Amino acid sequence: MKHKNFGLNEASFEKLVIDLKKNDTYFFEQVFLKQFEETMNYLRREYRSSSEEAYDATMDTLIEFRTRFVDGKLQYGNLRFLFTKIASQMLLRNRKKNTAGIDGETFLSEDADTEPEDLQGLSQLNIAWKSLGEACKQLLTWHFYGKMKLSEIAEETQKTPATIRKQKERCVKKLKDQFGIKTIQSHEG
Amino acid sequence: MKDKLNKLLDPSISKKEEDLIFEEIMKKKHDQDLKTKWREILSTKYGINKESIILKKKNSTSKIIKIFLATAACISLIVAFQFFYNTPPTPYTIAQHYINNQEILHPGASKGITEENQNRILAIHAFNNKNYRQSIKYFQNLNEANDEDVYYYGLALLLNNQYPEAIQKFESNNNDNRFREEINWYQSLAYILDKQNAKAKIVLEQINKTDWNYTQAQELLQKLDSNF
Repeated sequence: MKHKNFGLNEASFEKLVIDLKKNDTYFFEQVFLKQFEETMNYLRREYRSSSEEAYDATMDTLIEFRTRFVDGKLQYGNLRFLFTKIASQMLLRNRKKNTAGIDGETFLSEDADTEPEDLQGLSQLNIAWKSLGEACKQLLTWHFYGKMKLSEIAEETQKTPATIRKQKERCVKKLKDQFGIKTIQSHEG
Repeated sequence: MKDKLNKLLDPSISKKEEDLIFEEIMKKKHDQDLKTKWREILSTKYGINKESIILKKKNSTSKIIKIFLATAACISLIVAFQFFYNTPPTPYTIAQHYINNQEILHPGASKGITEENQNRILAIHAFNNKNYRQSIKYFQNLNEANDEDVYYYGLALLLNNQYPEAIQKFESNNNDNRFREEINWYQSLAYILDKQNAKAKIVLEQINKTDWNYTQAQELLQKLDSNF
């Protein structure tokens, strides 16, 4: 069973999910980056893909797996099989996107790729992000990226839910204010 | 994404809508950050480098650069061997190097199998734990060996230093085996390690330009020619 789950037992599987919710990816990297080359080789062998295609598809699979872990959509069972299956679908989706520009397969969640038009928005977000303090960054990351409820964050940080709710509002406002400043500046520029 | 950021500045936006947009843009940001981080780790820790893959692809059209890279690879291989062993590398030591320095793992049972043979599971488990002797025993007990079983059975024999048996197993594969490229490579290494260089040359010559380990096969062929 552990082999089917990349050496994870049920307890370590749970730990992995908890870590990822806090955006602590160390354990995830220890387990999954080891599979990278093996997965690339599989895609090259089974689908005659180029190394570049296989690299991108495997990277997208890692991202997809992280998302599924925090969304609670992965069960302890046969992660190895699922990883290979998603990698195959990522490869086919990328091929389809590159040739026809059609959206991804229904099996996959929303495409996480960064389109060129997103780069400007990402850059804007990154600049605004830097203006936040560490506490705000952590709270927003845990909540929006790690899908942690505010009550869970409150418990984790030993604060009351009301405090966390208020803190979130302040952090969101600060980030939005930064977007506003940058947007005005870019319009003026 | 820029539209989403502008939408956030709309004073009439609802809290729910605001949360959804934040969720989306934060995912884009952090996914991008993780990809950057993982590219770095893959490059430094695992030697898997996207840039070098692209470079390799571009270079496939340039014959001169390709020859240069192949030469550089040969030189670096020779220098590495001379550094570590202080003796000129022979085809035998090169083959040993390839076997010892490449981690070979079984990816698990093939998809579509509903009732997996217990021996197969045990064979794979033992193989991935590098217990090749045990893995061979389980492979031997398989009722119906598929292409993948035969390939990994052969590999287990090779990695357990049972070269004649590994050769026999690889030779028993038919040409339609989907592991043909891998088998050609490992079969040639098995021949070299079994001191059957003439047979190794025949198999190495069957490795096509688009096949796995073509460059390494050419290097080995050169080495075999110079040792004849």
